[in-house]
Amino acid sequence: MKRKTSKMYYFACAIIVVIVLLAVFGGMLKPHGLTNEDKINMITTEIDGKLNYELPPFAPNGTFLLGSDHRGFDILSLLLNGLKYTLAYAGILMALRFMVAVPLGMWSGTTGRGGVAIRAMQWVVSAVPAFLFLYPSLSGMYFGLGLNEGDKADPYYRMLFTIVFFVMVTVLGVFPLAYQIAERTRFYNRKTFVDASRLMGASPYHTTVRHILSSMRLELLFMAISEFILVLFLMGQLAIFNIIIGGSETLEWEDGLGYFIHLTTTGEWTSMIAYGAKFIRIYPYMVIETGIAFALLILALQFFLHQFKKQFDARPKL
Amino acid sequence: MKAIMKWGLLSLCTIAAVFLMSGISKAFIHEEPDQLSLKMGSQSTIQAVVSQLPGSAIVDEENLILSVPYGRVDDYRKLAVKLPGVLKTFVVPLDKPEISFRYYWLSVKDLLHNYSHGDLGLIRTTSNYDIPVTDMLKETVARTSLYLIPGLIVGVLLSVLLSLLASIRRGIGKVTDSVHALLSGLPDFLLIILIQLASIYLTRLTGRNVILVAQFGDEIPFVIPFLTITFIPGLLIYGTLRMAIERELSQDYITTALAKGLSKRNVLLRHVLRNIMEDLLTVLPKATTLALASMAVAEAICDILGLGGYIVSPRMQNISATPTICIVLAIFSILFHILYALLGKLFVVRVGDGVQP
Repeated sequence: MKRKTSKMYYFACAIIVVIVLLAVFGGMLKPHGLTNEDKINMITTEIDGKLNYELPPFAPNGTFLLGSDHRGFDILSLLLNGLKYTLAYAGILMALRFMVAVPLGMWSGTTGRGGVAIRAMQWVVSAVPAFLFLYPSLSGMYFGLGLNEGDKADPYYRMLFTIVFFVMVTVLGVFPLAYQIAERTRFYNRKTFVDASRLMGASPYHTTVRHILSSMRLELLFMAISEFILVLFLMGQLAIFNIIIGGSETLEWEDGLGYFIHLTTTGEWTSMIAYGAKFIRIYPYMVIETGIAFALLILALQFFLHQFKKQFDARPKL
Repeated sequence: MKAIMKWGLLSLCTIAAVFLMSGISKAFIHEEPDQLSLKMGSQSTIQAVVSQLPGSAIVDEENLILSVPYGRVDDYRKLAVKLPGVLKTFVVPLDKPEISFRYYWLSVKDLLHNYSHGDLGLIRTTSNYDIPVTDMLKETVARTSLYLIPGLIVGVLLSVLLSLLASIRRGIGKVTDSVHALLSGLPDFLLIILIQLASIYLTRLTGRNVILVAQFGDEIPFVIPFLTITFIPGLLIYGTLRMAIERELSQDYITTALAKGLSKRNVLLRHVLRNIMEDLLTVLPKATTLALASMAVAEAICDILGLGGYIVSPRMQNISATPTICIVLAIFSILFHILYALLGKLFVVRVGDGVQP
């Protein structure tokens, strides 16, 4: 019997469609430009015959609905432009984890080999907070390669840092995921239809791909969305520790004082969080707006996952 | 015994991995690791200096640059400056930073050598001078424990109580489930920022400092890290226990107990609570890891120099005690895991063929 589709499920799908549309067309929808010509050094207004000079960042107002950053760039425009980068980075990290964890977990679950090693590695990476592995090494690399110098940093080193960031975040997530997949594969591997296929002469590869993988399709999809949310959380946490990926430019604040600010060139959300967190006490709106946008994104994904599970989850329990 | 050996070995592997990762900054070098330059007076020559420094050789006579054994520039600078005619010594900067795993391994060996001699590295105080980490470690651990342990205990108790209450009273359950769904999408940093802002507005309204938002000298914020540590793992535990309680309530033994006249409260407290203990002890290690991560975020935002703050604070970059503090935090986390494993042995009711009477 076909399951009745709930209105909430349609609503969750509509939210995801809106997010995807915003990611795709956000760069075109943004109300203000993000080029060098759009930078604002100073706004001069005349009030009662007196000239009034205003320097960025500007608090939220009629022109800049969510305020501006130190370059005079509109925060709403940055958020609209940056959404695709945030989603893309999280998506790539999630995909990389899956590309390693799915074959590894399925191989271990089907053949019964490597289970102890995966379990041990899973324990090692989960026994301590992820930042203990990530922060000292990534920050050491970031400062060690002079990436804190913004534009002056070697582009090769910047690329190297991005690759290392992706590799490390992937490796840390692979083993818990592989362990979870191996457990489920082991469960399906004991099923009669898999035994029958094996008895009829199917190779382990055929059994895994044709029977186990197809039975786990939906579960893997649930896992992928959960993993995507987990990666977003981790990226947000690392942003507070000042570890970000993506392009940034350096701005000298209060000219001549040697105080430099690193700003995102793309509007990538975690970079915006890292930037806003430094000015939490002077310009709290920056980090609050980005943080709320980030939280809403996570909430939307969690809501979609919940509704998606309710709609389709009929998986056999262990 | 075998299990103890296994977990002991895994713990050692974790600590070793944390140690190796925490010192990786040493792999990025900005100066020639085997050269130093001198500033000399007229009463001596570079040849004379080289003859008194075993293992050194002249690289550039005109610019007074010497080669020294790899990674021993600092030691040779200390020796050279004591020689007659040597006024000052300098490192030889590289054109751009380089990656050297040879230098990294050398620094790892040096660190291990120092540890074996009781030197655990230097730490920077709030007054900005470096002292041995051993002098500050006790105080730092105490500072962190002040909000970590009470926060975790309150988080666990609160989530257990709320999940039981939500199962007893359907109305309360609806409210707590909605709040849980809303808060579970809230990243820890946003929670901290919102509390900080609330405290700033409260201060403005009342004219008094209600909640301390950052560390000022010896005044350490308590409320913000405490609430963060309570909420973040509490949400995870609440969600897990709600599902576990629902699962248990659908079991046949519950129907039997209710049919025999036991009230729902009694069923929950006498039967369900005991049976969800395994779920609680399974989720606790993950919740503790989350609590430790949130603690570091809170310490970073509130500028607290606790165990997490020392690791992530930009002011503390390149302090030699970073690996020590990382190891202490890793041990902290592993000890919690061991505690939960022991509690599991004590309280979890095991059923099945393999269970001995």
